[in-house]
Amino acid sequence: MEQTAHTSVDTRELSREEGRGLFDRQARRYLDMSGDEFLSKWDDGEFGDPDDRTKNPPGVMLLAMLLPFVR
Amino acid sequence: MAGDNPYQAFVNFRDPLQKAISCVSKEAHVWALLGTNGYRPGEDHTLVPKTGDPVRLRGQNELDLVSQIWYRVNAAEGDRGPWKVETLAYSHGLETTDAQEVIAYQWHPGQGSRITYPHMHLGSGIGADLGILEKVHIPTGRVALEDVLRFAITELGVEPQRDDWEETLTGTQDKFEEWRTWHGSGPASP
Repeated sequence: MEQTAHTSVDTRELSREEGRGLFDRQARRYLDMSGDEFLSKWDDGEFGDPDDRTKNPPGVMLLAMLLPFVR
Repeated sequence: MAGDNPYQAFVNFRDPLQKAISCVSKEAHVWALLGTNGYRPGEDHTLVPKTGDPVRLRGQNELDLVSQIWYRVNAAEGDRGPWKVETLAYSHGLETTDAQEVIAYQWHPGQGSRITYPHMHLGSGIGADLGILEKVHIPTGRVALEDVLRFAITELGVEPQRDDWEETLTGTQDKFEEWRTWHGSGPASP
């Protein structure tokens, strides 16, 4: 097996614009909606408890965890 | 993890996670932060591998790793200071490549959920009818990223990407457990 050298860390710091892009990609991946649409629904309290699996798919909690990228 | 300044505390928090991820991916060595403020004290930040996109895992099953850690850099006293990273929430999950959850380990006491204890989800990506199990939060203790990566390698057929993966995961997990301030059910709020 090839021995990889990952001891040095390459960290990327996203700009706010890139952060919004990340958020938008994940909203589309998990919930088939745009990031802005998610934020609008979030602000309106439409999701309620984000981890209530009787009401929300798993992606809602994952998007909630990414809010620091856009807020 | 502690440091002499906020940035060093962040680096000491980030580097072991990066090293652990390297056990399953040669590509996921880019972690995303918001702007240049990923270590500004007193603010909430999220750390994710591969700029937030799922990390494709090589192996007999087609799986993606999705990991998110919500954290804050705080001033601290004594051995844990003068600056320390505090984990506020985590989610470490494995998905199918079409974004169906297989298993996810989460703790998110301050993110608007009534579930404040560490728990596990089983998802439709398992490929079986889970009935009510798909809706519930199965209690766990605090789960480290290394636990999930080790489980993926030893139980789910994920191919390790470095020869020393066992020692690497043991080493980074030992460091995590040395610095963590809680285990088991944990605090109901961060």
